[in-house]
Amino acid sequence: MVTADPTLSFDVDVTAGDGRWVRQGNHAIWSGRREPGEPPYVLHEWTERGVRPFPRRDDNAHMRRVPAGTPYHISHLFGFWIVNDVDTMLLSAKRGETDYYMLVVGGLTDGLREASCLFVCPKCAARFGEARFAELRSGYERFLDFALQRVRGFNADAKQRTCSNCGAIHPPIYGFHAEADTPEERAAREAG
Amino acid sequence: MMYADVYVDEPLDKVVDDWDFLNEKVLPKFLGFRPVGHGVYGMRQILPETPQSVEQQQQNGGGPIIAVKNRRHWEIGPRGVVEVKRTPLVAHVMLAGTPHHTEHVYGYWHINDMDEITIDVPPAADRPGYVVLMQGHPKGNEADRMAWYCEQCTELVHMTELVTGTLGFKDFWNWERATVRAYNSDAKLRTCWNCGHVNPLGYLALATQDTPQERESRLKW
Repeated sequence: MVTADPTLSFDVDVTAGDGRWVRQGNHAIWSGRREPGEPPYVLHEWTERGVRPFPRRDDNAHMRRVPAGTPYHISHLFGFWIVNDVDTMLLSAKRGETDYYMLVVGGLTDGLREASCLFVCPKCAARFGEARFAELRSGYERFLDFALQRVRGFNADAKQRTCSNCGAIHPPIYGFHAEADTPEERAAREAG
Repeated sequence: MMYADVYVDEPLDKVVDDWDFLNEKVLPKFLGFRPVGHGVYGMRQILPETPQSVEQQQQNGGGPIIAVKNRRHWEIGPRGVVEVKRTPLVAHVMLAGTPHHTEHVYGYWHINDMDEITIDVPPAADRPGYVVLMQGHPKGNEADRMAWYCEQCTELVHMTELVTGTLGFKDFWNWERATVRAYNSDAKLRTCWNCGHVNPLGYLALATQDTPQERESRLKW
């Protein structure tokens, strides 16, 4: 019989910032970095009254909770909006000249079951094109693959990019992983 | 700045109380454990070393619960007691059910039913370093436990449980104090049933409440 020791704990090195998600236990964790000269990641949350940005204000560390059910977007990191069924924490800290970021989604024993991706009109802040992914238990990366397909369909179809509220046409956007960008997505990511 | 046209035009501080948990005005709320939304959070200022007395700690102004630079972290698994290195900006994710103890910080083994993440945030321009703790809020029968294992043979010598899933965290510190004081006042509870070793006194996470004997124990393990 083959037996293995159970995992007691594990580490996620935020300074490595390899841009991958770790999904184990009750959390999904991502870490990334921005070097000098790169625009910082900026958290945006959707509210009934419009979009609220949460920029880093100084070189101190910051930690922001995005409540479950609140759509959020991080400019230069992903161009669509995410809604999780559990709270999300964004921790950012500066070390030397580099900004480090960590996203922690989850915590509850029965959480991390589903997430949605959607779009928000930059002219009137209306939400549209919301699509639910109910298989989060199979890994957070699978949700991001699902979202990338939605992003590509969105960019390819002006009708999908047309706001049903005000008629404005949403510019092209980008997925989560920069290395998968098409030239159009890369330009959108750089623009933020 | 794709969304600049639809930004909510109000200062963040006025509309979102806890927009930054590490903000100097918000952080003091997290010096114990604070449930917020789906999670429970705590912040611990990192001092260079354990203050020798309660008075010295109060002069340092690090808050009632402290972390110290020279602390060591331990976990218990099938291979026994193992030391776990901690590095600034490396998140340590402790899976539910793992007994863990941090030297000089709390004098017992904590076992929770929720996965727990800790990360050391190094000092920045105008702020000291902090340990940030986060975990999901327990629900239903999910609980927190305080345990002591024999320092000689690692057998469990004493354990109590608080069903935080039902009772929440409002009684956590009273429970901690009552449990530690009961353990310390009864040598039988501290005596290993297996090898007969009498184990050292426990101590609270709330270090400002140490008795002189508990402070002595804090400096040792």
